[in-house]
Amino acid sequence: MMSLGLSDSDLEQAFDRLAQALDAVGEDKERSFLAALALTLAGRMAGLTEVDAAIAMALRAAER
Amino acid sequence: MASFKDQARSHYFTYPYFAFRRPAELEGGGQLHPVAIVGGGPVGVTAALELARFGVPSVVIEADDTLAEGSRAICFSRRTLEILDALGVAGAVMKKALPWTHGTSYYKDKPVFRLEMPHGEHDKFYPMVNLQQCYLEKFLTDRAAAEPLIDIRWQSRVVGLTREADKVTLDIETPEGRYPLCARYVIAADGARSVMRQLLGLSLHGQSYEGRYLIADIVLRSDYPTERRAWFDPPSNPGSTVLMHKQPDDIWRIDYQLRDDEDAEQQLQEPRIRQRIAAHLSFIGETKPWELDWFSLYKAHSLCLDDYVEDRVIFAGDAAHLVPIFGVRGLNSGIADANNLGWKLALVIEGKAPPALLRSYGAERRAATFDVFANAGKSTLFMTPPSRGYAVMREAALRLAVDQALTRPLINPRQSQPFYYRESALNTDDRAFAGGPPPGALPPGRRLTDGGYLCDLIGRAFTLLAFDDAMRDYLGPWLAAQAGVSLTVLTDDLRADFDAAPASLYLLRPDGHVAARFKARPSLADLEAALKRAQGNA
Ligand SMILES: Cc1cc2nc3c(=O)[nH]c(=O)nc-3n(C[C@H](O)[C@H](O)[C@H](O)COP(=O)(O)OP(=O)(O)OC[C@H]3O[C@@H](n4cnc5c(N)ncnc54)[C@H](O)[C@@H]3O)c2cc1C
Repeated sequence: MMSLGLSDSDLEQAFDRLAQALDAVGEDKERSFLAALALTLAGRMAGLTEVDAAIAMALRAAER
Repeated sequence: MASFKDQARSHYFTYPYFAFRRPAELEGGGQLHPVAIVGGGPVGVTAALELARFGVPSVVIEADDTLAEGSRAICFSRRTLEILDALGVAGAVMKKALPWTHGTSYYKDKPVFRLEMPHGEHDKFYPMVNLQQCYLEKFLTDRAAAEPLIDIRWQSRVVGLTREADKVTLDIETPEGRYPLCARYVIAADGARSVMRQLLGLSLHGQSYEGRYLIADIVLRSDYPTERRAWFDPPSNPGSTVLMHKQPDDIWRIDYQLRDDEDAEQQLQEPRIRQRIAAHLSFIGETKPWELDWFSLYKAHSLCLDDYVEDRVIFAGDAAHLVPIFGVRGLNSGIADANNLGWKLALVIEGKAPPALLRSYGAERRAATFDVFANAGKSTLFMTPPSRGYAVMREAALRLAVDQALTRPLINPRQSQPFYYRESALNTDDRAFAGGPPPGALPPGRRLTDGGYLCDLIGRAFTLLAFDDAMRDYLGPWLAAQAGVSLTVLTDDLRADFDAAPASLYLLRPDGHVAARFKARPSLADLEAALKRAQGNA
C-alpha cells in the first residue's frame, strides 16, 4: 500500500500543522481548504494508481 | 477534586491510622536535623528511603493521619520498580501488582492500535505494573517504619518557614501545639497544592489542558487480562474517550472524558456516573454486577517550577511539577526525582560533594520534566483535542487507522520511559563508542550467568563496570583510596551490550546512570577527573 514515507515524528508534526491550518482557516472554509490540500497532494503523487488508492482509503475511512 | 466516599469505606483497602507522637521539640528539646522532608506521600517517603540507604537520617513531616485517598496513580514503570527494588520495596509491590505488556486502542468498536512493550528474559521487571497508589504508599511507609534512620511524624503540618544561611526552620502545627524544627536541608514533597511553594512565594508555570476526565474505580469481577484499553468515540459514550485498567482486588479504573458541552456538576452526580459506566460495561460485554468505589474529576496540566532547588529547600514530585497522567508519568516522575536527589543530597550532607551538586538535580529533573511535557502533551492533545482542527484531524487519523498502518503511530499512548540525562553537567564527554549506553543513559537490562540481573549490581554507590579481570589489578590501589566506589567485572558476553573492548571502563552514578565511559583503558587521572565531575566538583 501507499506510504507517505514520513517518520513517526514527522507524521506527528504533519498532524499538528494540518490541525493548526484547519483552525486558522475556520469551519466555513474547511471544505475548500481540504479539497485544495487533497488536490495539491494528488499532484505530487507518482501516478494515478496512487491517487486512486488514496481516494479509496479516504472513502473507506469516511464510511466508518 | 471530588470524591463521594470517605477513606474508611474503600471496598478493598483498610486505611491505617497513624497516631501523633510528641517529638522532642515539643518538650523544648530537638536538634539540627540533616534533612527534613515535608510530605509523607510516595515521593517524600521514597526520598527518605533513598537518603537512608546512603546512611543519612531524615524526619518526614506529614499533615495527614493516613495514606492517599482513592487509588490515584495505578501504573508503575519498570524503572520505578528498579528504583523501589534498591529500596527493598519492589518485592511487596510485585506480590500484589498486576504486570502487563500490551494495550489496545479502539475507534468506536474497532481496534486501531496495538501497544506492545518489550519484555524479555533480560528484564528483571515487567515494563508496567498496575497497583493502587495506596498500596504503594503502604509498602513504602511499612519499609520506612522499619528503618531506624527515618522518623515519620504524622498529623504534623508545616505552616511556616524561616531560611538562614546554614539552616531552614520549619514551623510545625500538631494536635498538641506548634514547634520549630531545624534542618540543614528541606525536601519539599508536599504535593500539587504545595504549601512550601506558597511559603517561598513560588508558582508553577506552563500549560493547562481543556479536557476534563471523570476518573472512577469500580469493583468488578472480570477475567479480562491486564492491559491498557482506550476507546475513542465509543458507542457507549459518544464523543468521549474512555480508558480502562485492571487493578488488584478486582478493581477497575475507568476514565472517561467529559465533552465540552457537558456540565461537570451534573456529570459528577453519582447516578449519572453509574449510568455512563454501566453503558460502557454493557458495550464491552461485562455483564457481572459491579460497584462504584471512588471517583474524581481530573484535568491535565503541564506545569513546573522555574527551579527545583531554592538554596536549602529542594522540591520533588507534584510539588515541583504537575504532568498529565496520560502515559503514566506523574508518580513515576516523582519517584525518579527522589532517586536522583537521594545520593546527591547524601554526598553533600556528608561533605563529600559541594552544594553545587544539588544544582544538577534541578537541571536534570527539569529536563526530564520537559521531556514528559512533550510526550504527555502529545498524548493529551490526541486524547482531548483542544480545537476543531485537532478534532477533525483526530477523527481522520482514527478512521484511517481501522485498516491502514499509516496513522497508527499517532494513536500510540507513549508510555513513560526512563529519561536520559544527555545534557548533564555531571557527564564526561566520550566519542570513541559506536554503541552502548552513552553518558546520562541507563545500562540495558541484562540477566547474568549466575541468574541475577545487572541492575542488582549497580545503583548502590558509584560503580565501575570493567570487562576484563586484569582491570582489578590496575584499579585496585586507586579504588582502595576511594570511599564509595565499587568495581564490578562483567563477563565477556556483556561486552557487546556496552560496545566494550577488554580494557573499556564505565563509571556509573549511584542512581545507575552512566557518568563516563572510556573505550581504552583510562589513565587514573582521567578516571579521577570523571569521578570528581560526577560528584559536582568540576
Ligand atoms: C486521578 C489521578 C490518577 C493518577 N494516575 C497516575 C498514574 O497512573 N501513574 C503515575 O505515575 N501517576 C499518576 N497520578 C499522579 C500521582 O498520584 C501523583 O504524581 C503523586 O501522588 C505525587 O506524589 P507526591 O508524593 O509528590 O505528592 P502527594 O501524593 O500529593 O503527597 C503529598 C503529601 O504531602 C502532605 N502535605 C501536604 N501539605 C503538607 C504540609 N503543609 N505539611 C505536611 N504535609 C503536607 C499531604 O498530606 C500528602 O501526604 C495520578 C494522579 C491522580 C490525581
